[in-house]
Amino acid sequence: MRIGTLHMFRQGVNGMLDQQVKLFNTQNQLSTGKRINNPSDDPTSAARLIGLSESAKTTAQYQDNILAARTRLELEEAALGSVGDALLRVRELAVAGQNNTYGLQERTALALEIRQLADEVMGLGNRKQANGQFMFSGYQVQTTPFSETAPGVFSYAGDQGQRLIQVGPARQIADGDSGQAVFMDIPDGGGGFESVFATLENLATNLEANIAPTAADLAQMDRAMEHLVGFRAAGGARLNALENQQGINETMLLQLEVTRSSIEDLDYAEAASRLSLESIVLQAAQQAFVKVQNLNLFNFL
Amino acid sequence: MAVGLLGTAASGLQAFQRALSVTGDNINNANTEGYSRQRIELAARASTFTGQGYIGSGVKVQGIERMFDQFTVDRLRDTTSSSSQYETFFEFSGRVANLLGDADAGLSAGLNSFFDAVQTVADDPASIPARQLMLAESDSLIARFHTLDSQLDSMRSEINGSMGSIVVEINGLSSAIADANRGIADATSQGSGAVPNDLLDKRDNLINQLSELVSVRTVQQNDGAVNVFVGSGQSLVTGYLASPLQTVSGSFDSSRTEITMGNGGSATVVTNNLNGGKLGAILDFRDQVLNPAQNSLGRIAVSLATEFNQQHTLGMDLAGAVGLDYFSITTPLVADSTANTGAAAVTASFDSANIDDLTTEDYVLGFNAGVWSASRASDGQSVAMTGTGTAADPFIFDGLSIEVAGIAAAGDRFQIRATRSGSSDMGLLLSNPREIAAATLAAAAAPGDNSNALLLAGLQSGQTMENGATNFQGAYGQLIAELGTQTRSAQIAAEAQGALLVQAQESRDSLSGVNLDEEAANLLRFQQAYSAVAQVISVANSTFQTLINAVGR
Repeated sequence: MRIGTLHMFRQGVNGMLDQQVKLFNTQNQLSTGKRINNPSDDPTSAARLIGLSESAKTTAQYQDNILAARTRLELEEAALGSVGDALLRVRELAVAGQNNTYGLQERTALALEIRQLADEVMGLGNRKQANGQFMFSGYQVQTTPFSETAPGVFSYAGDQGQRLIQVGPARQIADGDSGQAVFMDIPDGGGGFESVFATLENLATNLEANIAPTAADLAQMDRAMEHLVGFRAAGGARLNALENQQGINETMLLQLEVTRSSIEDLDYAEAASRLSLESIVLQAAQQAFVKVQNLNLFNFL
Repeated sequence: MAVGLLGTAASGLQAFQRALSVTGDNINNANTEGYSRQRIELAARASTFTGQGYIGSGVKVQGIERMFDQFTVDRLRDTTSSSSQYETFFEFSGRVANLLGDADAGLSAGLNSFFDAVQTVADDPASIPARQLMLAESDSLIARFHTLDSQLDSMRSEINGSMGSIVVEINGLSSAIADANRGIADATSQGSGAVPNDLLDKRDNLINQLSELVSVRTVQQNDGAVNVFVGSGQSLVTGYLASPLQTVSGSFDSSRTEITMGNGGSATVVTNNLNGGKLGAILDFRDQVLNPAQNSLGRIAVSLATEFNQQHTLGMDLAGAVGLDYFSITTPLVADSTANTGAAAVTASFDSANIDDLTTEDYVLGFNAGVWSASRASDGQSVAMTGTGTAADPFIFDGLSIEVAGIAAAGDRFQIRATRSGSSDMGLLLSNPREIAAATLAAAAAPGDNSNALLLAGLQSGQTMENGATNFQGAYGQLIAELGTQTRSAQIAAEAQGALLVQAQESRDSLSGVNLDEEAANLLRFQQAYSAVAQVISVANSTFQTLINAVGR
């Protein structure tokens, strides 16, 4: 066996170059903190990372969606709370109006307050969301939903649309209720419906005519309040559901991050010790090269 | 007697001078690539008969041998070819994989941002800023498709340029080999059998350089010339004649460079016959990586645009009008072969009803024996199609719809590159944010309705690609995995071939390489021999002197 001098030189240089490439790759891993820097480093994992990042981004978007829906439901909850307070006060006034000692004067005063409360309720029904859109007009978010088109005639200009918000991969939750459902479609006890505005108008008109509210009037008030409580409960349930979903999404995000990290992130301890090993090998290769290149019979001639 | 001794010694002086000069030549060429060390062969001169028996008459140079073994040289050539092939393939496919797989510049992030913007519209469909954001994200998604596609395109031009320069290099090498053949044959006949070692080395080195570019086979002729064949037996050098290669534009696609051999009318396309070396790697890269990657990217663009348009046109915009097409896409590229003689015209379009059948293949539509048939361009496998090719009943296959008008001649061929230009042709048709159809179609405008926006956002996870097997992002992931795997296996092969190349180089050098220690030892040996012979002359001289003195007294 003999070795060509040129080959020996080439081998020595190649050895150093190979070591340098390894050292460069490790250095690159350490500076990016990633184990996979090119798809060819680990093709299957590179494809999985794309899927994971899609899931993470989508889940983060669901969290944004939840935030938007929650703000709206909370505002609706507040509005419905105020409507409930107003109705409670109206009922008190109605009960007071039944007092036999009351005459026209007292009843007119009661009617005045009821009318003010009725205005308040209509104002709440026409309330806007934070983005300037009407809360209770269904899909017709730019149309004022409630108005008194003629004295004692109330109309709803929205529609029955109820928007769903995507809050999880397979979960949509309504971010509100239409004004029709909340304010207009209150059962009248006889199979028909009566709006809360008509109920209040009715009470006020009777009181102004010194007619005491009947038991049926009070029953209608109770139905309106009950109807409203139903919507408040549903809103609360949706808020709960949003919170649950938020938790689920958070866990999901965490899980995704753990998985991503286990696939992509570098084991620093391992990489650092690899780096020092590789630099020792490179140094050894360099020293060996110089030593071997100096070994030459011509030096002794 | 003394005269005989002088003659003998003179032969030694001459022989060892030659030996020293051969050693010197070896030392001088210790760093010359492709040099084969030479060895002097000494032999005793014929002895002369005297009464006492045969007496030797010195030493002579029998010949100067070039230390060389055809087998190791062939092996070195083969491994040089495969090593440079995998090395080049790895370099090119690594670039595509890194381009498309980049977390920031790749398509993946763009798709995510786009669908996030659709969700934002679903959250607040009446909001004009949300709608504007969706248009802006659509624009940047399209820009991403265009950028990635144009980078792949520029790699194609780079490849075409490389093919041109490699062909020029091959032609230069092959004519140099032909010249060397002539020189060797001439020198061999003049030197009455002795071979010109340096010319042989030079030719071997040329052939070795050629093998870096394309894989070669050689056949030795009796006169010392070698014939060189490339690829699957195309004769590049025959004796003193080299056949030049040429680059021409493809018969279907002018952006596809082909390689021909021979001149004028007799030129034949040999692209598919060439393999190995840098050229083989580039050709493989073009067919196995670049074109499929561009088709794959285009397929995502076409599928996304088609699916999105279908859903968008089912919706209603802010003004209560039916949704328009959201993205623009054009039709598949159809190219007639330049060899066609008939008058048929073929037009292709995407079959939106079956868009999830779309593949990343190119197709060839051929007319033979009165029948149209389709086959895949990559492997020639035929593809089943339905329909008769008329406008009313077009040919339908793999998400494509093909219409044929006019009369074709037998043997006419049309190439259909279904999704090649899908990315570059994609555009945004909507410019008014109010025209985004977020609502479900209804009798009147419903600005707060997000039902259709929810369905549009849902397309992100819809299994609308690969016959319903995956979504857009999944198809992209598959592309990245495929590119990564191709690059990885090329890398592994390049490393393995690199090791084999080192081995082949080592075994060639262990025979043919110069070892300076050995030459230094030889230098000493021949120098000492020369001094010894000089001593013989001195002895002969003093012997003669003794005799003269004795006689002169």
